[in-house]
Amino acid sequence: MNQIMTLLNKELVESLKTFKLLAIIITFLIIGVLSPFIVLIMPDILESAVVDSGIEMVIPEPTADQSYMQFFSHINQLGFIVFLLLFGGILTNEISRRTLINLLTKGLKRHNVVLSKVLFILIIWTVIYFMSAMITYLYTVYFFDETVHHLPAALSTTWLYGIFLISLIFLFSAAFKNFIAVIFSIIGVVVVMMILTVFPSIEMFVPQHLLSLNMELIIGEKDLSDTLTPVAVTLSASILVFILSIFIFNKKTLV
Amino acid sequence: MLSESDWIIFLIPLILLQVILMITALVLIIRQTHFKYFNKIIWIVIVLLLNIIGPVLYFILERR
Repeated sequence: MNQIMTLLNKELVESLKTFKLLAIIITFLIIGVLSPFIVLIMPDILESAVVDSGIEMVIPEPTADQSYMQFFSHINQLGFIVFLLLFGGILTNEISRRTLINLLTKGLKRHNVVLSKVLFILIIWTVIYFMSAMITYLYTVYFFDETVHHLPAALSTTWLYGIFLISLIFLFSAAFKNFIAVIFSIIGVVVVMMILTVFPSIEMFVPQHLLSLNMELIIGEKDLSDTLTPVAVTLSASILVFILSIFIFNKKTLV
Repeated sequence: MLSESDWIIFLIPLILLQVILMITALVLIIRQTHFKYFNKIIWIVIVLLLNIIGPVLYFILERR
C-alpha cells in the first residue's frame, strides 16, 4: 500500500512536469464548452448557408439531446485520441527509458508498478471525463428548458468504454514495450469491434455498442434494462484485461 | 438565436483555454535548446497552427 501511494505521487509529479495533466485537463474543458456551443450556433451557420444558396428550407431548432450528442462525438473523436496519445505511453515510456530496473532490483513489486499506474490513470480519466460532462450539462440546462432521458446512465456508458480502452493500454504495454505498437493495437481492436457491431446478434456483447447505446438512452429509444448486458460484458472484459496485463508484466524481461 | 452576452460566455472560456495551452507550449519551446524532432521554428509553427493537437504533440514528442 505504501509503495502504491509513493508511486501514485511519482505519477502525479511526472504528469505535472511533462505538462500532460495540463494538456488533458484543457482538452476536456474545451470539449465541455464546445459541445453545447456548436449546437447553438448551428442554426446561424445553416441560415447563412441557406440564404447564400437561395434554397428554401426550414431550419430545425436546437435541442438538448443534440448538445449531448455533440459531447459524445467530441469525446469519441478528440477526447479518446488525445487521452491515448498523452497517457498511452505511461508504462512503455518507463520500459524504454529503463527507469524501472533500478527500482525493481531494490525491492519494488512489479504488480505495484502496474497497479499504481492503473489507479492513477483511472482517477485522471474519471475526474476529467465527469468534469467535461458537468460543463456540458451546466450549459445545456442554462440554454435549453427540456430534459433528456437517462442522462447519468448515458454518461456512464462512455465513461465505462474509456475504462475498457485504458485496460487495453496496459495489456498492449505489457505485451509490446513500444508506444507506437500500443497505439496501433488499440486502433486495431477498435476497428474489429466496429466491424462486429454490424451484426445485430452479437452487437450486445461488444464494448463498442456502449457508444451507440448512450444516444439511444438520451432520446429515450432504449431503457436502462437494455444496458445491462453490454455494461456487464465491458466491465468484466476490462477487469480480465487488467489482471491479464499484470500477469504478463510479471513474467516479462525488462532489459 | 444567441445574444451577444451568450456568445461571450462561450467564447471567453474557449479562447482562454486555447491560449493557456498554446502559451505554455510556446514558452517551453523558446526555452528549449535541443529538440528530438524538428527544430524550434517548426515547433512554433505547429503549435500556432494546430489547436489543441499541436501543443499535445509537442508535449508527447519532446517532453517525456
